[in-house]
Amino acid sequence: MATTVDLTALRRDIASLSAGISPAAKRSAFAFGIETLDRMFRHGIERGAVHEVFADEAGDAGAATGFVIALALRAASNQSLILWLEEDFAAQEHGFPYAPGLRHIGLDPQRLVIVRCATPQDVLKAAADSLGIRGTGAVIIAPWSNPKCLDLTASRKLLLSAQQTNVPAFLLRLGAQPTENAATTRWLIRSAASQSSGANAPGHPVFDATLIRNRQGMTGHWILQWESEDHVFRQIEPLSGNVVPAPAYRPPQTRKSGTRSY
Amino acid sequence: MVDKIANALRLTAVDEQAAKAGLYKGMALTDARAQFDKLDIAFASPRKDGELLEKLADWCDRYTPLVALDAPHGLILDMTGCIHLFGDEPTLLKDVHRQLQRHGMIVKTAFAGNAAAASALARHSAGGIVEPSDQNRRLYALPLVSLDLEDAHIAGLRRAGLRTVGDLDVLPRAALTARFGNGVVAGLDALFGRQSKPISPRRIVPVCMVERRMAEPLIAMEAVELVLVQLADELFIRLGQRVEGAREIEASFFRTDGNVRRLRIEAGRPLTDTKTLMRLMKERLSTLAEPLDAGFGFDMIRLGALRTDRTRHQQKSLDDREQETEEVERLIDRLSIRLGNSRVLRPTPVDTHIPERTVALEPASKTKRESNGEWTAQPQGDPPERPVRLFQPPERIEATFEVPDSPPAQFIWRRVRHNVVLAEGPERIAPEWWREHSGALTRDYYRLEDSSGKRFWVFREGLLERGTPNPRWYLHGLFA
Repeated sequence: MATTVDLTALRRDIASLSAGISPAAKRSAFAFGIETLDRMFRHGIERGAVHEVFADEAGDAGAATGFVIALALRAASNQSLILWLEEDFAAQEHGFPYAPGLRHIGLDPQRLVIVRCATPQDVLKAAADSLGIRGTGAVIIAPWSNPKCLDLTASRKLLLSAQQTNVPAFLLRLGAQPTENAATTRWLIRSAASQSSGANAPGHPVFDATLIRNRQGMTGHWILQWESEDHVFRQIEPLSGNVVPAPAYRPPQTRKSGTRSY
Repeated sequence: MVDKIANALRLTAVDEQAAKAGLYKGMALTDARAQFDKLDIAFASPRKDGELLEKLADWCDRYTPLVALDAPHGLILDMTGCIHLFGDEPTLLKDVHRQLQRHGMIVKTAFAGNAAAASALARHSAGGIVEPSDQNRRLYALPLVSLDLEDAHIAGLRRAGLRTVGDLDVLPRAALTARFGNGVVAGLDALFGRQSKPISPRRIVPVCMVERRMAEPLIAMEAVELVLVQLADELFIRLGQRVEGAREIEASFFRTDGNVRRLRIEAGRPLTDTKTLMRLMKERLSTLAEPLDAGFGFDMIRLGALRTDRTRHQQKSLDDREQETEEVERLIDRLSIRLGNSRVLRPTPVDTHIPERTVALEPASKTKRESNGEWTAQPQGDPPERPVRLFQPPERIEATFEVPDSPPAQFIWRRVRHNVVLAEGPERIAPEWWREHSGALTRDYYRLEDSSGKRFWVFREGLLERGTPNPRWYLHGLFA
C-alpha cells in the first residue's frame, strides 16, 4: 500500500506558511544588530511597544536624544514619518531639537514633524492620537520631568495603542526619575567617551546604555557607538585604563539628589 | 460728541436736537457751553467707532459676501446677483432698516448703479432706490461736498459759483484738472461710473458657500451640529461636482443679536467628506478659549470653502501605503487644529550660516514633505558637526583657557565644572553684516568633550585680536 505524497504541493504549503509568518515577525520586532545585546530579547525588540529612555544628568540630554533617534531609525521603516511631540519646557530646559544636528546623526529632517505642546497633558493627548494610526514610523514622546498625568494608566494606554497599530513609541524622559509604569523597556543613558577621530577632536556619538527594565528578558549594560551613515550600532569594549571609569549602574533611589546638575 | 482737535475741544458730531438748537460740527466746546449750560457730551473714540463698524460689516455678511468699509461711517454692500434672494430691492432695504433700527442705529441707505454713487447719495440726499434712468439727475443735484474733496478746493469751487455736482460735470475737464488737480475729475468719474472703482471687500469671497437661515433661532448645540452636517453635505456635493475638495473652510454663526462668530479650519489635504470635516470642527470647537455661545440663538449659519484644490478620484483601500499616508495627513490636520498651526512644524532649511537661523519651522499642515529645500551636506564618515539639541538663547558659561585662541580647558555650566578632554575648533561664523545691527560679534565655535564623555557645542563671542578684552563664552548645543 503506497501513499502518494504530492511533494510539490507540500513544499508550496510550507513556503506559503513561512511566507505568511516571516513578514509579520519582521514587522513586529527590530534589533540592535549587536549579538550580546539582542540576546536579551527573545524575539527581537518589540516594535509596537513603549520604550522609555532616561537621561542621567542634564548634560546627558543630548546623548539620550541621540539614543532615541538611533532606536527610532532602527525601528521605523525607511523614509517613514517620525513624529516628535515635545513639551515646551523640556525644549527650553534641555535645548530645542536641531534639524542640522539630527541630520548629522542620520535622521533626514524631511521625515520629521515636530509637535510643540504647552502641557504634559497635551503631549499625552497628541501621543494617543499619533499612536492610533498606522502610517507613522515612530513617535517620540518627550514630556518634561515627572508629570502627574504620566502614570501607570496613561503609560498602559500608550502601550495598548502602540501594540494595536504596531507603531513604536519612545518616551524621551529628560529631567525625570524612573518610576513604575507600563513601558516595555527602560533605558538609562549617559554620554560615554568617544573615540577621537584624530587631531584631538571628539568622535562619533557613544552612549553608555543601561537597560534597567526589560519585560522580555534580562537587563544589562553596554557601551554603544552609533554610526550615523549606516544606521548601525557598534559595541565598544570598555578597555582597562580607559579615561572613563567603568560606569556601574546604581538604582536611582540611592543616588544623592545633589549629584544632579540643574 | 467731543474730541480734541488742534489742542481745542471741539464738537465732532451733534445729534438732531442739538443741530436744531444751532450747534454744529467743528464748533468749540466752550462756545457751545456758552450757549447751553446743560450739554450732554461724550468723548469721541474713533477706535470704538471703527470696531462697531466692523461688527456691523460682519453682520451685513448675511446680505452679500462682498461687504466693504466706507470709513468712517459707511458700509458698501455689493448686491450684484444677490437681490433675488430677498425678493426685490424695496424689500431688501426695508429689511436692512428694520433690523438695524432694532439695534438702535440710525440708518440711511441708497441703492445705486455703482459704489461711489450709492455712498454719495446715501450721505447727501434722501437716499432710497435710485433707478438707473434717474441716477444722473439725482447725482447732478448733489452738493459739492459729496465729491470728497479738500476743503480748500470746495471753497474754491464755491467761489466760482458752482453749487452742485451737475454744475461741475458740464465744465471742460481739462480746465478742472488744471485748476484743481486730478481729484475732481476722478471723483466725478467714479460717481458717474465712467471709471469703475472696485470696492475692496473685507474678507475673501468663498469659492463655494452654503448657508441656512432659521425661522426660529437655534439654541441647542445638537441642533446647530445637525445643521452643520446638512450644510457640509451640501457643500461637498457642490465641490464634488467641480472635482474639488476644500483646503480652508470657514463656518460663520450669525447670532440674533448681531454678533457673528467665525471658525476657520485648514487642512493639508483637500477635504471631501462631512465626517472628516465634522471631526476637525469638533476639534476646533473644543480648543476655543471662548466657547461658541449661542446666546439667544443663531438665526443663520454659513459654511464657505475659502480655498479649494483639485481632488483625484481615488480607488479605496487597494494600497495600504496610500491609505496610511492619508491617515498621517489627517493626523497632522487634527493636531494642527487642536494645538494651533504654529505648534505642528516641519523643519525647512534656510540658506544662512548663523546656526539658530539655518532652520525655519514651517506649519506642517501648509507645507508638503517634498517641498523641503536642500540641507547642506555632511562630509562622509565624519562625526556630527552640529548638535542634536540647540539652546535658544545660548547659555552663558564661565570658561578658562590657556592661550587666547585656544578652546577652553574647563568651563562651568549650570554650576557644574566640566574638564575638557577632546576639542575641535574654532569654526568661525561671522555675523551677517547686511542684516545685523552693529551689535553682533563674530563667533568662534568649538566642539568639546568632557571627561565623562558629554559633548558640547560652545562658542566665544568676539575676537581677542579685535579688541574684545573679555570675550564671553556661551554653550549653544548638546551633541549626541
